[in-house]
Amino acid sequence: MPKNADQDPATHRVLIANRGEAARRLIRTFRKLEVETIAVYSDADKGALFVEEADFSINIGAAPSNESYLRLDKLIEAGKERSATALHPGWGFLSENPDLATAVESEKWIFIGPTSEQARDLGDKVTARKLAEAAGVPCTPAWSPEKQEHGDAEPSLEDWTRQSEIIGYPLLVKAVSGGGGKGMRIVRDSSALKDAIHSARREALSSFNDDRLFLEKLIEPARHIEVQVVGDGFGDVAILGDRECSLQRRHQKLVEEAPAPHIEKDIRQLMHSAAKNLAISVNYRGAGTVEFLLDSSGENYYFLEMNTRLQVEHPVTEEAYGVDLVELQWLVAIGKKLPSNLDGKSPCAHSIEIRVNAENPSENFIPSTGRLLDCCWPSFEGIRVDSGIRSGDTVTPYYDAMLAKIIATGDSREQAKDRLIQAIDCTSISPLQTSISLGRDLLKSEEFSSGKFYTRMIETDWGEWCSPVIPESWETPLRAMAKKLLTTETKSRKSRQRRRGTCWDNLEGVLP
Amino acid sequence: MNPDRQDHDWKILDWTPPVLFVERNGEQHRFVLTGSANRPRFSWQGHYQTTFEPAREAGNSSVDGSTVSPMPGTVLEIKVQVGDEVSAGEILVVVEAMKMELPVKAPTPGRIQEVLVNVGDSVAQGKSLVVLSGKEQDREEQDREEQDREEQDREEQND
Repeated sequence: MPKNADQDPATHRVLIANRGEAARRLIRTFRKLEVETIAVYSDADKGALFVEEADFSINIGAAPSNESYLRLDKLIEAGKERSATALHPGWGFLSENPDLATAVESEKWIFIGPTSEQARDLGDKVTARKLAEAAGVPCTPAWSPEKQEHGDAEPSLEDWTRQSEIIGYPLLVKAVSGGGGKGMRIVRDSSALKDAIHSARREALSSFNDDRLFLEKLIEPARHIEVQVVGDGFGDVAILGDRECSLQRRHQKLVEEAPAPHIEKDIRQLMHSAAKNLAISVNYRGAGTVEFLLDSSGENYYFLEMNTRLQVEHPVTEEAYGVDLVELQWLVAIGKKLPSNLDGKSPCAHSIEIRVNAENPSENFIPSTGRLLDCCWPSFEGIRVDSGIRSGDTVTPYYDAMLAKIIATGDSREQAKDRLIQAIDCTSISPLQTSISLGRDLLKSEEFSSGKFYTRMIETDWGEWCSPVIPESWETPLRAMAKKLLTTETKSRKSRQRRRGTCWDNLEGVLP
Repeated sequence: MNPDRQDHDWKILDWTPPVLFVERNGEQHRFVLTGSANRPRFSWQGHYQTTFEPAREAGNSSVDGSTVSPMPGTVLEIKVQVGDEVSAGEILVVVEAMKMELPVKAPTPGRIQEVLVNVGDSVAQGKSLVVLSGKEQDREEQDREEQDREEQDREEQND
């Protein structure tokens, strides 16, 4: 434990090493805990909500993330300048980079996450697989070059090809430091291997500053099921259920839910135990996620990786199990023990999340960027929105496409689903196109209801999907209604001052 | 269903700005209605509507079958040089945005006539990256260019 791990929140100030939605989510809990926060921001995020909401803020550089959010030196410098005592990495960016944990440890600040050693071992997918095997967790066949340090002789294409034949196609070329599908390519036959290695290596280098790769047998069709763990670093590990995250595009999750539906009770139990054994075997500290693939028989599960950070989809666990994972992270980071009733807690609700990604699902998910005219979120029972944007913001191509998440919770899966569909119907992020229109149809699909979905379902079966379009014949009546309603609305607020950040900010310049 | 009837059958069930809840022929729909009376904006089923026309086809910005940038981003790699013969589906240029790589592939077999960008360039969506000409078309175009040049020369001489 760092020597200044004082347990009084008032003595702490946390640097939020993230942006947008993630930064806002973290600030919310620290505000509740009465811990001060420092936001860091790039030139592109000057006017962002999370910058306003933090107690302190500091510019750390130009818009591209490798000149700002990925600059370890600038983060540490910012923390020193504003007297940080702790750092929360969020997810993405440097959250799984062990050098961040190391740098924070050497400043004698608290790293709200695992120890640098745990981050290094589990973040290295090859080492993580070895640890999992040692803890008795089932793994898929794989191969990694013996020595792969920077500057070492690269294994030849012949080596890669020979090992691929041994594992058998289809397989995955994966970045050793990968995550979020970056630096990962599916290879179905030897002809595609060379290009896959080349592009995976480049993407791995630009995303993780580590171009080491390995091969892994591809299990398909498979479901992606993950188990939430929280360890206190004293050997105590709590399991907070599981999540179903099979609905993905480009290996990135789109719809997630907790608890995972349609899993045999004993298989679920085995996955929970496997996750717990792995976490205990490394004396894990912090929140982590053990990811598994569940094959189509529903009986065989394989270790995929362990994420040593809070996950994007953590809200579904929070809503289904009634916990605040950021608060739990903070507790164990300052050296407190886990609450005794936490492990094996039963879900009190069912929760489903849709990611609001700025991308056009009708056009192969190409990014949709630009200035937001509207940012209208649903607000009714059972709905939580974690968002980093507001009307008038500009969505730039510099960062991840995820703008927000809509999380719907209900007594049953059916109720959560119905609420989420209604929530999507009450959302507008115009004029950008987002992933939620596709998400709506996925939620309404037979596959979703029956649980017969798998990780590549969107790419395989939904490739021809088109966005819903208002029928032409509706135009006249809709315009007439709009004219009437919006005129009345304008009149009724004529005397009121315009509020900032609502849909009624008329950004087209037609002012009342 | 009588199509003439449908325009008269709209009933507003609720208007809690910006959500408009209506019933039409027994079916209920929610719209998010924003903008101004003269320029309303509609989102329906999570999708923002720019027009009421049938869905626009991906056209020029489609990922496969074009030589324009499918999205705003940065040119990461140029895989071809002027004069290269490429087959359909061969990767010409790799564009990156939001940490995502998108290959721009040759829509047809042909020869690279011109590369319009450099590695590291920022490109807008729809920006032409590579000029690709089909083999026969190629020859025709060269002929035409030569004719143009001859004509220009002649005009200049006349001046």
